[in-house]
Amino acid sequence: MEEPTNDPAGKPNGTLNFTRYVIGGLCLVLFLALTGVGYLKVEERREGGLRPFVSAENKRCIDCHIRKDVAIGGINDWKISAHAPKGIGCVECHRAEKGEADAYEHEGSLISTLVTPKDCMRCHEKEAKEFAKSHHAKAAQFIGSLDNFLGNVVEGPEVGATGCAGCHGSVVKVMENGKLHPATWPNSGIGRVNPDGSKGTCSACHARHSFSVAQARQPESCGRCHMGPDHPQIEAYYESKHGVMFSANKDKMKLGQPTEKWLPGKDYLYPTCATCHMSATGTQDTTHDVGDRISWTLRPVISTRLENHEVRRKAMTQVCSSCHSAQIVERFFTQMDSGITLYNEKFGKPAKAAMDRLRDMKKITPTPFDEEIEWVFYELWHHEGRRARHGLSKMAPDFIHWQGFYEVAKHFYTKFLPLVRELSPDVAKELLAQESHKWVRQGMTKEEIAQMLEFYDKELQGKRGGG
Amino acid sequence: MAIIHDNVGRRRFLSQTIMGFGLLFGLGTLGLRFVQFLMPSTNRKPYETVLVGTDAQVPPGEAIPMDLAGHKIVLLRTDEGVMAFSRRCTDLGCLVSWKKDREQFVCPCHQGVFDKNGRNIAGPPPRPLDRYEVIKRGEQLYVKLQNGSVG
Amino acid sequence: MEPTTTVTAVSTEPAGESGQSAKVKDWVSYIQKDLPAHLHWWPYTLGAIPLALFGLLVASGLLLTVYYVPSPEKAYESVEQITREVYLGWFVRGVHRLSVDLMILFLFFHVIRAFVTRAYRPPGELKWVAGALVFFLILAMGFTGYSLVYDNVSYWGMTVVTGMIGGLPIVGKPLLLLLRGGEEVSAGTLLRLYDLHTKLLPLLLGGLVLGHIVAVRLLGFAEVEGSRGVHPFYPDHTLTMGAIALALLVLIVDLVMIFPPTLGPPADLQNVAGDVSPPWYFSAPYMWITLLPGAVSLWSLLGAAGLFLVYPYVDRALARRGWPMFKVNALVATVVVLLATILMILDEYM
Repeated sequence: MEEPTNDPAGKPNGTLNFTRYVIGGLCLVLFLALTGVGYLKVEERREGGLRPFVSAENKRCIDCHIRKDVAIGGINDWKISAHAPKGIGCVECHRAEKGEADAYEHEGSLISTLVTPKDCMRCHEKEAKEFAKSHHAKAAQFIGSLDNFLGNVVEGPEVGATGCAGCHGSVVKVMENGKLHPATWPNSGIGRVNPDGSKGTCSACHARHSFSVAQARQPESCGRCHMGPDHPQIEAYYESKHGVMFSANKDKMKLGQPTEKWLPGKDYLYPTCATCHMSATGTQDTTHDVGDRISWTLRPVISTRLENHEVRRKAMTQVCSSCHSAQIVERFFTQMDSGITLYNEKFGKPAKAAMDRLRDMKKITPTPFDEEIEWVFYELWHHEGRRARHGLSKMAPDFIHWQGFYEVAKHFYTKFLPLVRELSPDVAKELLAQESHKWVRQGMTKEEIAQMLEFYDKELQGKRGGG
Repeated sequence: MAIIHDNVGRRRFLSQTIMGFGLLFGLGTLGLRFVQFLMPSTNRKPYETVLVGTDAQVPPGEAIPMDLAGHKIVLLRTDEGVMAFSRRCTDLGCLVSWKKDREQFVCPCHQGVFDKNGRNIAGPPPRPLDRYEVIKRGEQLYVKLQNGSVG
Repeated sequence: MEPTTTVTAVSTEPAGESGQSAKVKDWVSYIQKDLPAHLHWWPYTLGAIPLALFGLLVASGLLLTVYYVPSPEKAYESVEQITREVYLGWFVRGVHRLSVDLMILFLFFHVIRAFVTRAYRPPGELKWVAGALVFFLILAMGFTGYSLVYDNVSYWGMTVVTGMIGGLPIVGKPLLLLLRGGEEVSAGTLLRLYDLHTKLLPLLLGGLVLGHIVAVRLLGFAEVEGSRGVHPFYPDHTLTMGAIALALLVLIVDLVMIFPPTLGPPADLQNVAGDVSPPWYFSAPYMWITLLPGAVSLWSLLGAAGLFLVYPYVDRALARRGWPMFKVNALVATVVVLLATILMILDEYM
C-alpha cells in the first residue's frame, strides 16, 4: 500500500480529489436547479388580445394632433378605450365618403367630425338597430309639441338649442364649408338628427373617446338627462334601496366586465339603471331599446299601457327575478300599478277632462302658457304628477308622497280647483265628482272628527295635531 | 488500455470521472437551456376574431386590403363568398396586389400570379394564397387571427 | 514562463502509456506556474469571480441579442417579450442581470482587497492600471446595457449621463454628439449605445481583462506575510477556481429562480419621472452629484477616477517619503466604503 503521493510543491492528491468531488457535486446541484428552471412559470403576459396597434394612417393623425397640441384629450382618452388595441382609431370612425353631407377635407383626407350611429353600425349593428327603433332615437322629434313651444317660444330659441336639445338632441345643420352650425353643434343629445339621416348618438351614453361600458353602466350616465323636477329618475333611484346598496358597494360592482360576466344576482348584486332597462340577465340578451321592458308610459297626462305590455312586463319581471323571489316582485308591481291607477283616476283624468271642457267652452285661449291655469295644469301632470309616478316605479317613498302626490293633491285642490271654479263652477263640480274627492266637498263626518280627537287624546297626551 | 493498480491513480480516476460526468450533466443542461431559449416557439397562440366590416362593404370585383396588427390581408368576394387572403406570396413572401382588370393577384417579385380564388396559376408560387378564416354573423364579417407578432 | 518538472513526477502510469499523457504534459507546461500559497486564501480568490461572471455575461448577452431589437419603438417590447413570452427568456435575462450585479459587487470587493494589500507594489503597477481600466469599462458596460431596456430609468439615465458628459470642457460637446448621435437623445442614441454595449466595449473589455491577467502572470504577486510555499497553477488552482465558478453558477441559477427579472414602466418621454434612480452600483456617484453643485461634483468624480488610475505611482512616491501606506490605504478604504454606503442609503430614502 503506497502512501498517497503529493504533487510535489502542491496539495496532496487527496485535496485535489476532494475538489473534484466538490465540483461534481456542485454540478449535480446545478443540474437539478436547471431542471427546475424549465418548469418555472414566470408572470404570464397580460391577457390575450392583439397588441395595441396604430396603423400608419392613424399615426399621421395622432402625430400631427400631438405636435399641434389640438384636442389631445380625445387621443389620450382613446388610448385607454377598447377600440385602441384592435387598431380602431381616428380614421376608422371619422372617415367620410365623398358626397356625405358633413364630409370635408382635412390635411389630405376626407373626414367628418360627426360620428353617428350609422358609422358605429359598421361594427355594432345590433346595438344600432335596437337603438334606432327605441324611444331614445325619437327624442328630438318633439318639434311642434307643447314642450317645444315652451322652450323655443316662451323661453327663447337659444334655450331650445342648448337646454332642450342638450338632452333631446338637436337637428344638426351643416354649413357651406362642411363645418357644423354652432346653434346645432356641439350636441350629444340622444335623439340628435344627423346629416346622414341617422338618429341619435352613441356617445350620449358611451362618452367619447373611451366609450367605456363601465362608464355607460353607471347611473350618472343616464342621470344626466333622466333627472330633475319633471322626471327625477336618478334622484328616486338613489333614494330607493337599490340606489343605496349600489352606492355602498360600488367597488364590488365590476362595472367593466363583458356582458357574459356581468349578470345580476350572480356577478353583481345591486342594479343600476342599465341592469333593469337594458342589460343582459341569465336569460335575456342586452337590448339597446330602453323601452323593451317598460309596460307603462309615465310621460303623458294620463299614463297608459304600451303596446305588448304583457311581454314587456314579463321581461322586466324576469330581471327582478334574477335576485328576488316571485312574491316580492309580484307585490311590488301590484303596488306600482295601483299607485299609477290612483294618479290616473283621481287626478289625471279629471284634470284633463276639465281643461278640455274649458277649452271647448272657449274659457281658455288656444295659445298655451298664456294663462295661469295652463301653467298650473302643466306642472300638475308634467312635474309633480310625473314625480309621483316615477317614485312609484322605483319604490322611492319621498318622491311618491312629499315630492309627488302631496304636491299633486295640494296644487289640485288649492290652485287648480279655484282657477277652474273661477272660469266655470260647473266644470269645477264635475272635477270633484268622484268618491275620492268627497272629503273636500263634504268635509269630515262628525264620527271621523271624533275618532281623530280620540287618537290625539290617547296616543299623544292631548296634544292636538300641529302643536 | 493499461490497468492502473495503485490507489492514487484509482482515486484520481474516480474523482475525475465524477467531475467529468458532473460537468457533462451540469454544463450540458445549461447549454440545453440556452439552446431551448434560442428556439422560436411554434405554439398555437390563442385566436381572436376581429371585426372587419359588413358584407355589403366588399363589392364584387374589389379587393379590400387591410393591415390587422401586422397581418396584411385582403378581403375579396370569391365564388364561395367573401374570403380573407394573406397578401404574402407563397413563393418567397412578397406582398401581392390585386389587379382589378385582370381579376388576378400579381406578385411583383417573380411575377407569380393567383386567380380570383387565390389559386396559383402562373409563376413560381407553389401553392394558393394562405387564407384566414372569415366568420359571418348576420351582416358583419370577422377575420380569425392568431395573437402575437406576424407569422 | 518557468517550465516545471513537477508534472512528470506526478504520473505513476506504466511506461507504455506515454503517448496521450505526454501531450497533456506539453500544453500544461505552457500554462503552468508556481503560485504562492496565499492565492488559496479566500480574499485572494475574489478576482476569479468577476472573470467567471464575465464569461456568463458574454454567453447570456449573446443569447439576448437574438431577441432584442435596438429601436425605440421595439426595444421595450422586445425586452418584455424576452421576459414574458420567450421560453426561458426570463431565465437568460435574469442570469444576465444578476451576473452584472454580482460581478460589480465582487469587483468592488476585489478592488478593496487589492487596495488594502497594496498588490500594485513595484514591479506590479501595470496590474493595477489595467485593472482600473477594466473597472471603468465595466461601469460603462453597465450603463450602456441598462439603457437598452428603454424603460423610464433607461431613458432618463441616458439623457442625464450624456448630458453630464456634454458638460465637460473641450471634449464634452463632441463626446455628447458622438454618444447621442445628435443633439438630442434619439433612436440614434439607442443604436449607438447598443453598438457600444455589444461590439466595441466587449472587445475592449475582453482585451483589457486578458491584459490584466497576463500582467498578473508576468509581473507576479506582491509579497504577503505568512504566505509560505507554492502550488502549481494546474491542476490545483484551476480546480479551485472551477469549483468557485460552479458554486457561483448554482447560486445565480437559484437566485434567478427565486427572484426573476422584472420590468419597470416604459419610457415616458413627456414626464421626467421624479423617482428614477440608477442601478445600485451608480447610486453613490448619483447621490454625490445630486448633493453637490454641478461643477464641483463632476470634477471631484473625475479627479477621484484619475487618482484611482495612477494610484500605484502615488503610493510609490508617498512610500518613499515614509508614509505608512498600509495604514493609509486601510483608512482611505474605510472612508470611501463608508461614504459610498451612506450615499447609497440616502438614495434609497430620498
